[in-house]
Amino acid sequence: LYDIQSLARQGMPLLLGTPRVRSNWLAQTMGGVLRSSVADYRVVQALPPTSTGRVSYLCQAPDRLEHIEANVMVTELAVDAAGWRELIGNLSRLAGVESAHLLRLIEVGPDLDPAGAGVYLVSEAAPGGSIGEPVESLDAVARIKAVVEAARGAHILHECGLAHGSIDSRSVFLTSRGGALGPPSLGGPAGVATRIRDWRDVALLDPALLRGEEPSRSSDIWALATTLHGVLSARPLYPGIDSDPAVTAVQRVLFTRPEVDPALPAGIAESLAACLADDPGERILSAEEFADRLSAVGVAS
Amino acid sequence: VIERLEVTPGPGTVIRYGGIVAWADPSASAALISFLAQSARNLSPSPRGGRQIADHIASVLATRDPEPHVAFAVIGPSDHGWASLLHGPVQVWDGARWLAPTPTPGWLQAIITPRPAITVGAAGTPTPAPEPDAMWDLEAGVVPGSGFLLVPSGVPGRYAVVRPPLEDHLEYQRDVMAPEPPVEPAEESGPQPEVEPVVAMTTALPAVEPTQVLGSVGAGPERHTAGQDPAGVATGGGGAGGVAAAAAAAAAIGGAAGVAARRRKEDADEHPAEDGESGEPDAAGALVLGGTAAFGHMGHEPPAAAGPAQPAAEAEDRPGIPAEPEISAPEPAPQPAAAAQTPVEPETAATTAATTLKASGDEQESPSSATGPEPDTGAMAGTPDESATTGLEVGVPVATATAGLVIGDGESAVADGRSAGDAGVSEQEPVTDPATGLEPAVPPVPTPRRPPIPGPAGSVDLRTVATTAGPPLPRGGGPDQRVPGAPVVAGALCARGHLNRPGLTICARCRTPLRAGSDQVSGTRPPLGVLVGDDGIVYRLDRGYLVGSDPGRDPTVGGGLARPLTLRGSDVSGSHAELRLADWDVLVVDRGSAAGTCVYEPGAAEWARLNPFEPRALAPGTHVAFGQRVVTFLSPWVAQG
Repeated sequence: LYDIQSLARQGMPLLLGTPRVRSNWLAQTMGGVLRSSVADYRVVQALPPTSTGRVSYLCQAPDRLEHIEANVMVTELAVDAAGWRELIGNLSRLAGVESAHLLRLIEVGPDLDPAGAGVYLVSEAAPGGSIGEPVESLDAVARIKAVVEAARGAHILHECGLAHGSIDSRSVFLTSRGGALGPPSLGGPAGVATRIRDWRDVALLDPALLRGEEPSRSSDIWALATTLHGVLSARPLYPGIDSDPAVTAVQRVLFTRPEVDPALPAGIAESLAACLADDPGERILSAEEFADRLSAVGVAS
Repeated sequence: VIERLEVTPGPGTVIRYGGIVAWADPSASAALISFLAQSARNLSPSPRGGRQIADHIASVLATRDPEPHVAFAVIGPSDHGWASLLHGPVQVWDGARWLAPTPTPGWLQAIITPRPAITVGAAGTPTPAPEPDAMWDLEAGVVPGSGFLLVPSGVPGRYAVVRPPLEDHLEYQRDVMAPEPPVEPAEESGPQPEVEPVVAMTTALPAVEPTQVLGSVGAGPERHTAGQDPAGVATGGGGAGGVAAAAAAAAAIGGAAGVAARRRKEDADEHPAEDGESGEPDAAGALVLGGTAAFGHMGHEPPAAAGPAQPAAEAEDRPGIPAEPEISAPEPAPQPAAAAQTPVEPETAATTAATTLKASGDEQESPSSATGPEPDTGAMAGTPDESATTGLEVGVPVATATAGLVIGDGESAVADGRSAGDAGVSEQEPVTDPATGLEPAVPPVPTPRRPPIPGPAGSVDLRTVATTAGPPLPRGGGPDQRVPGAPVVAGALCARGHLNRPGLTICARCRTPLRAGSDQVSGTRPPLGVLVGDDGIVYRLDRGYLVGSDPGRDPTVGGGLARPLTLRGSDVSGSHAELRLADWDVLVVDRGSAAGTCVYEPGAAEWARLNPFEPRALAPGTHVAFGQRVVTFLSPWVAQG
């Protein structure tokens, strides 16, 4: 038997925090198999993985759909019957919602490919990519604007009774309408909170999630703040976390306080800090309020 | 109730009476088909007929399922939507979700909400391609088909598009559906009138004897002599094309309906008194159903069953019965060259699908139809003029065809390489009503468009799924609330009402200081942390887990006492170890696994193997190895704060 670090060094399946995972994400998607199709969608390009056990592809939609291209998101984890029912229930809350701040959902279904085991979710394609992986470089104002719009989308989700649960820079998409929040978490096996690959994934998470609590409005607000911090500052929110393996990063998030980069404009930094309070009751109470505050200070900044 | 019922061409049987629709796969016995049709027919007047027939069939199946591997489905109206019973390998798509009995053999009863339509077919078959303004529309009866698309009345507005103008529509039909062969110019006349694709539509009125073959205007009227074949009605709507199409359809059904019908007719001929006693004239259905008897081997009588019992063996003798050459084929009406008809084989015509040509409620019209020769049917099915006079049939261009019972198949005619004109109408003279001298109005009624093609089985179209409202998520935090049924532990409350593990100096959640020696209170236990797997998966510790390569098979999981935590690995046992939550502690218990369970605690120098079935409390930061797979326990509830 090995300790956790030696396992990682020897390239064992223990992948936490190893650079190999990040650099080789394309090849290791879905167990190392780069898929050519998901359901009847033809894969055009693999997109960067998100932090919650999802793999996304830019796909060519089949003829039965009028869309030329679509984002197809696939869970890496199997979804049982209860998880499927919960997912359908959650997505049906969004079915009638028309918002420019949300990526439009098209279809969800079981991923029956042998390389997959879970669920695929189809949404409209985002030609601009995401703020984490933009097609064209973005300035700070454009990033703030996209996060503001994603925050408004998150607020819509919350008002529909749904927490996103996986907000990060790769789920804030750039569409022709502007920024749009990607689909919410697709869930997974019962009890699974998320899937982390390295410290970057951990640093986004509300400590409440790492205590085992369910995603909530306040955890999404936390994630919006950490997402914005990540795209505006090169400095990690938790000093020193960038050298941590994932497990250590979890412990760091659980037991230390985030520190907003002091180099950020004061208004932005204050807004971020207001989202990162330990007690959810002391945080900004809604994503819409966060968006409003950013909009107000963003102009001045 | 039903706006339109599009029959999918192919093997199988589609049945419709009133609002009740059924489908059975080709392996269904004639007895089953008769049973379904008879039940549907008897219950069709009821506004809750769908629910009643589903309950009735379920009660039969609960007693005994004589054909467990046969796929069939019954759908009909109920008080709260469309009631259905699905049996065997059948699939139903309601526009947003799939329904299928699982496992098969078995059956399923469900209330279906069309979004906006319902598609039924054999499990695993591709859903039919979209056909805007498709021509098929079964009004009543039993016809061959591999499935159907049911469009209820009053579908949502997004699908209720206005039918395109007539010319555009015909243009579409010609371009898309009918690759027109070159038209030879007429030698005598001038420019040949443009041949429009036509589907022959036969509209049945209550006065129509159901045993009639109604030809369309301009087509050589094919006619069955009533009484000779009172059951199997080949409705060759489009003249040669229509008959050919119907014949093809009949071949698909394997004569199930027609055979059952004819046998019943024969029996009726032999026992006219019995038939009369039934009070349920056979004429109501072109398929004369020996339903009660045919399905009698199930040991159940369908509700309000009519007709005498038939030996099941007789009714099950389905395929390959040669048709009786009872078709009287009158001389075709003068046709232009394009209307040269393909000779209709008597066998083919006689075994065509039996189709009811009249709506429900006309049962009382012709009790004699099955018992003797039809006295006079020429007025209804003879020449086009006669038909026009009685107003019983209207041969119209495609654009108006969907209103009635479509029997002729313009597509089939086209597929045979013949022009659309071959299908029946040689000239584009509008049909006029001799009584009024007016052309029949082409009703510009909005026609529902077909819904989008469903995706792969099991998928849900999120653009059409019904929205379910949920309450907004709560804002901010607050003191802990007692959760009914959740484990209760004793702990210390912080100033903000968060329950903490005794011994902590600051709140694990809001980091406010905890007063030393504060009184303990009981409350719902918060999650005790997370497990981080070596694959990066984070598990919440709000419940216990059973760890293994196949923990789902363990009664602990099946009984709901623990969640499964699946770890794939050659040395991971199926049920390897348990992770239990006890008070504020997380315990690991090896289940006597072959490879063993080891822990690596913070500060330890080496791994320690656990004794089987001996619980070990985990300290935060402990690595636990199940064989070669490792998870790490992380928790904020550290006793020393």
